[in-house]
Amino acid sequence: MKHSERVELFNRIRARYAIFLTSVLWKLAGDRELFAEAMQYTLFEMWQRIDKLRGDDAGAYLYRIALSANSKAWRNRVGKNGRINADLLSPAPGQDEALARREMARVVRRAVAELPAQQSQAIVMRYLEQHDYDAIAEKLNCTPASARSHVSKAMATLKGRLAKLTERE
Amino acid sequence: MNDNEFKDILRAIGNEPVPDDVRQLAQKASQQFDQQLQSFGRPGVREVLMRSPFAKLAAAAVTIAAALIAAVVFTGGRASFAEVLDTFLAARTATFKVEMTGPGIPSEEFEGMFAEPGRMRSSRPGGPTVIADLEQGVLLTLIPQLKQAVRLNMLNMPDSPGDINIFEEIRRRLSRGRDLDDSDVVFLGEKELDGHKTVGYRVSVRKADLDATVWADVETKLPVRLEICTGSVTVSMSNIAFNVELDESLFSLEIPEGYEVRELQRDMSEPIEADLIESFRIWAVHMDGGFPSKMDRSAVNEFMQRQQKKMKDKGVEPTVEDITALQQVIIDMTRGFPFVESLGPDADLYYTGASVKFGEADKPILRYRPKGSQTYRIIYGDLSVRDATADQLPK
Repeated sequence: MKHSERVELFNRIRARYAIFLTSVLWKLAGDRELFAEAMQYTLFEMWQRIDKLRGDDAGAYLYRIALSANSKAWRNRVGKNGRINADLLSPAPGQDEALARREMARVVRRAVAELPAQQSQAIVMRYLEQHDYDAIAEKLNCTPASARSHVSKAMATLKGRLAKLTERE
Repeated sequence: MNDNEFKDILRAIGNEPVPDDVRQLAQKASQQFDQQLQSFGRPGVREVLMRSPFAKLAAAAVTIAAALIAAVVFTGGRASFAEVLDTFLAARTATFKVEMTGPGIPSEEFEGMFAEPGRMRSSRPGGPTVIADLEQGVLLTLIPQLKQAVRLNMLNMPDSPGDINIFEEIRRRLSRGRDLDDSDVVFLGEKELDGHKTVGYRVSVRKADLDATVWADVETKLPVRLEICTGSVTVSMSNIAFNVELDESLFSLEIPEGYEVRELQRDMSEPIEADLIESFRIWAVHMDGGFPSKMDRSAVNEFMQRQQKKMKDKGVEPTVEDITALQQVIIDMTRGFPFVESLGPDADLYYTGASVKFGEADKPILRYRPKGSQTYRIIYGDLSVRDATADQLPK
C-alpha cells in the first residue's frame, strides 16, 4: 500500500471510530493521563496494523487494539510499585462511600487491564459497553453460548486478579 | 463482595459519561500523532517505541528494515523489499525451521508453525511439542514419551513476548521499519538457496549490537532465509512457507487423553531491578550460597545441571511433584535475568558475582548505570543495593 493510501485509510478509520475509541478508552482508564497515553498507543497500533482494519471486522480488531493499549498504559503507570488498598474491597464503616466506590472502580479498571485479551474484551463489551450476548458473539466471532461462557470465565478471572492485587500489599 | 455488587461497579464504570475535557484530550492526542506521522522516524515515534518491552531490539529492527528498504531503492531494479515485507507481515499462517545458536548455550533447532492470531507450534524429532497461544496466555508442552503435559499459564503478558512466539516477534520488528529511511546495508548478490534463486541483504547496526541477513526469492519476493543476531544469540529461519493450510487441531490447547498434567505459572511482565535481585536470591538459596559464574544465558544451564546432579546424588528417583517444583523454581529464578539484557551497551555493566558468597555485604556482585543516570547502582552479596558515582565505584 502506498504511503498516501495508508494515510487516507488511517484518517477514514480514525474518524469513523473516534467516538467509540474515546468512550472505551475513557471507561477503561478513568484517568486523564492514562487515557492520553492509551490513546497514543491505540493510534500508533492502528497505524501499524492498518491492513487489518480494512475489513468488516475492523470494529472487533479495534477493540483488541484499544484494550491492549490500555493494558500497556496501565503497566507503565503501575509498574511494580502500584499500591492497592485491601480495605477497598470492604470499606470500613464511616468511610466516604463515594470515595470508596471511586477507588474501587480504579482497582477494578486495573484488574481489567491485566486480563487476557479475549476475556477483557468480553467483560468490557458485556458490562462496560452493556452489549447483549448476541452482539458480543458477533464481535468475538463465536456463538452466544460461547460469548456467555467467555464473560463468565472473565468474571471469575477478574475476581481472582482482584484478590491477587490485594494480596500483593 | 458478591457477584451483583461486582457487576454493579462494572456497570457504573460503563455508565460514566465522557467529560468534555477528555474529548479535547482525545483530539489533542490525535493531533500529536499526526505531527509524529509527518516526521515519522524522528524522535516522536521513537519515543513511543522505546517504551515497549522489546524497545531496543525493536528500535534496532526499525533501522534494519528501513535499511533493507533503502538498499532496494538504492540498488534499483532488484526485488522490492517492501513487497517482501508486506507478504511476510500479512501471512495468516507459516511453516519454517528455526535454529538458535550462541556461545555457552546448547544450540536449539525446531520445526515451527505459525497461525493467526498469535499461535505457534514447535516440535523436535522425538522431542516434546510446544504450543503457544498468546491470546489465551498459555504455553502447553506435550511430552508423548512420558505421556505428560505441562501447562504454563503466562500472567501479565506483554504485547510482544518474543521468547514465546519467535515468528510474531520477527514480524513485529520488521513491521516497524516500513516507512523509515535509515540505511546501513550491504547487498550480498544473488545465489541459489534451498532450490530458490535468491537475492541477499546484510544489515549491521553496531550501536544496537544487532545484525541481520535476509535472502528473498527473486521471483516471488518471499523471504527464503532470515538470520538475526541479538546479543550473543543467532536466530536463523529457513524452509519458510507462507499461507499453507494448517489444521486448527495443531494449535489445540486440549490435553490428549491419558496425559498427566502439571500446571506452572510465569510472570511475563518486563522485569525490573527487584526481579533481578530475587533471581540472585533464588540462585543463592539453591546453589549453596553462590552466584552465577557468568552473567549470561549460560547461567540457566549452570543452574539446571547442578540441580540435576543434586537430584541424582540423592539416589532417589524424583517424584513428579519434585520435578514440577524444580521447574517452577527455574521459571522464577530466570525471571529477573532478562533485566540485564535490557540494559544496553551504555549501562557499563560489570559482573563480579562468581567469587562472592550470599551475605557478603561488602562485596559487589554487579554494577550498572541506569539509562540517563549519572550514578551507578551496585548490588552487593547481601543483595543490598547502593548508588555510587563513577569515582566511588569499588576497585
